[in-house]
Amino acid sequence: MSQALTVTDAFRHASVMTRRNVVQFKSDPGLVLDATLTPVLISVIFVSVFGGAISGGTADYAQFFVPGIMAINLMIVSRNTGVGMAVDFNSGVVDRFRSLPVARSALLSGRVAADALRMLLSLVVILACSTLIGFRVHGGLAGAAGAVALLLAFGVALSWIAVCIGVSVKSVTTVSTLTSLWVLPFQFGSSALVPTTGMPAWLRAFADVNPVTLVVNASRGLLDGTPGLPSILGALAWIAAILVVFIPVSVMKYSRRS
Amino acid sequence: MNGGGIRVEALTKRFGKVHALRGVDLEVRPGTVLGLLGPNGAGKTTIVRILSTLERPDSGSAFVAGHDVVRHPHLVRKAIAVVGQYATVDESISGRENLYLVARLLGLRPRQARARADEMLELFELGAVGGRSAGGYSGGLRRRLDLAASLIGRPGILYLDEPSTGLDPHSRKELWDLIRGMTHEGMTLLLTTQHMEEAEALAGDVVVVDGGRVVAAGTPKELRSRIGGQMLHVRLAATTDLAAARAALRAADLTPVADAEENVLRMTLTRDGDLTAALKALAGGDIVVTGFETRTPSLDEAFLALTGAHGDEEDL
Ligand SMILES: Nc1ncnc2c1ncn2[C@@H]1O[C@H](COP(=O)(O)OP(=O)(O)O)[C@@H](O)[C@H]1O
Ligand SMILES: [Mg+2]
Repeated sequence: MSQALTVTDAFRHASVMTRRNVVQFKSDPGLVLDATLTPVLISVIFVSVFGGAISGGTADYAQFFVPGIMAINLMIVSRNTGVGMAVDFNSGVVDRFRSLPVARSALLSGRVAADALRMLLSLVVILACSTLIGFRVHGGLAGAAGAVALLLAFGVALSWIAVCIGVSVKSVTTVSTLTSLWVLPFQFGSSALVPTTGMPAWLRAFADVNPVTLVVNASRGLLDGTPGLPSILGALAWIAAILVVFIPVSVMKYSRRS
Repeated sequence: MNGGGIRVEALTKRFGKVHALRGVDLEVRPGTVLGLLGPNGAGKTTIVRILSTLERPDSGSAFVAGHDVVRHPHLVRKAIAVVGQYATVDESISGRENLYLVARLLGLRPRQARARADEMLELFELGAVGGRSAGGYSGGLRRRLDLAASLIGRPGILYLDEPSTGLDPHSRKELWDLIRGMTHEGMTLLLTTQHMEEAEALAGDVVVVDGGRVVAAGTPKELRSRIGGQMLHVRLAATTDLAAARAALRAADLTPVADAEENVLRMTLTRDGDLTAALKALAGGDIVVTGFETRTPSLDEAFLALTGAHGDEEDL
C-alpha cells in the first residue's frame, strides 16, 4: 500500500515519532517514575519481606530475585505502551498521522522505541540500586551488557503485544486492564520470583516453557557469569516469534481501524 | 500552485445498519472551493474521511489529484491536508512541538522544521501560546493550531470538516478571513458546513447532502432561486394540529415543512396562485392561524427547504 515509501523513510518517520513520545515524558513524569522508582521499591520490599523465608538470606534472594524483577518491570512499563496507543486513538491525533504521507508503522514503532528507552533506564536503575540490597554482577561487563540487551529485546517484544492491544480495543481503561491482566500468569507462572522446581507438575510444565522463565534464567546466567545457551536460545526464539506475529498484526489493525 | 481536483462517483458506505452514504457524486474543480452542506448525520464527515484515506468506501470511486483513494492512498496523502471535524492536535505536547512534529514527518530537516513551525505560529497568531501544552488551548486556539499543522506542507488540496463548529461568532469571522486568505493561492478546498451562510461566505459551489445523498447542487445563488423567491410562514395556535394543517396544505399542492417546536409551517411559493391556495387550504376545518407571513428566505431556510423536503419523503 505504501509503495512510494522506502525503508529509510520509515526509519526517519519512526525516529520523529520517538522524539514526540520522549517529549511527552516531560509532561508526564509518572511514566519515568513507573520505570524507575516502582521497581526499586518492589525490589526492596520483596527482598526484605520474602528474602529470609524463601532463600534463607536476603542477599541470596537478591541474587535470585533481581533478574526476575527486571523482567517483571518490563511488563509494567509495557502496559503504558498500550495505554498510550489507546489515548492517541481517542484523541484523534491518529487521524492526522494516518492522513499524512507517513509510514504506517511509524507511530507504533516510535512509541515502542521511546518505551524501550524507558525500559533501558529502568534496567540500569534497578541494576545500580540492587547492589545496595546485596546483588552482585559476577559476569563482568559483558555479562551485564548481554543480560540488559536480552531483557531489552524482550521488553520490546512485550511492547508490541501491548501496542496490539492498544490499537485493537477502543476504551483506554479496558486497554489498561487487559495489558495488566495478560502478563499475570506469565509473571507468576515463571522463575522470576521463585524457582520452578518447587511448583506442582502442571504449573512447572507451563513455567518451564514460559518466555519469562527463559528470559529470566538466561539473564541470571549472564549476570552470574554462568551463561546457559539453551535458555538464551529459547528466549531469543520467543522474542523473534512475538515480533513476527505482533508487528504486522498491529500495523494492519492500526491502518484499518476507523 | 495547482493541487488538482476531486472526483467522487456513486460512493456508498455503510456502518453496520446505518447507510452513511447511498451513492454520492460530486466534483471539485482544481483551484475552486466546494461547500459540502448538510445537517448532522448527512454523511459529510464520512465523505471527508474516505477522501482522506481514513475510511474505505463500500462501492463507488473517489479520485483525488488523479489518484484513486483505495488503490493509491499514499499518493493521495501526499496531495492533501485534512482538518478534521474534531481537533487532531497532540494534547500532550506544546503547540510548537505539534507543528515541528508534522514538519519533520513531512521531510523537513530539523532546522527548517523549526523555522517553519515558528513561521506558522506567527501566521496563525499562536506565538504567545506556542510553548504551552496544546491540551490547555481553547477551542479557537486548537482550531488554529489544527489549521496551521495542516498547512505546514503547503498542500494543494485541503479538506475542512465543519471548521467553525463550536467557535464563537468572532473567532468564526477570523477563521473565515484565514480561509479566504488561503484560497487565493489556487488551493482546492472542500469545506463541510451545516450553515448556508458559511458555504456562501467561502464557497463558489455548493453541494447539499442529506441522508447520504446529494439533494441539490449549484452556486449559492442558484440554490436560493431554486426554492423560489418567497417563503410563506404559517404560525398556528398551540391547540391546532400541525399534521392536519400540513396535510391540508399538501392537498393544495404545496410543500410545507413543519417546525414542531415553533408550531410553524414553512413553504416556498413557486407559482402565482400558491398564496391564495394556502389561504383557502387553511380556511377550511378548525385550523387556527396566529401568524401568516411571506418573506425572502434566509440562506438557512433555503437549506432547510432543500433538505427538509427530502426528509419528508422518507417519512412516508
Ligand atoms: N464509525 C461509525 N460507526 C457507525 N456509524 C457511523 C460511523 N461514522 C458515521 N456513522 C453514521 O453515519 C451517518 C453519517 O455520519 P457523518 O458522516 O459523520 O455525518 P455528518 O458529518 O454529516 O454529520 C450518521 O448516521 C452516523 O451516525
Ligand atoms: Mg461530521
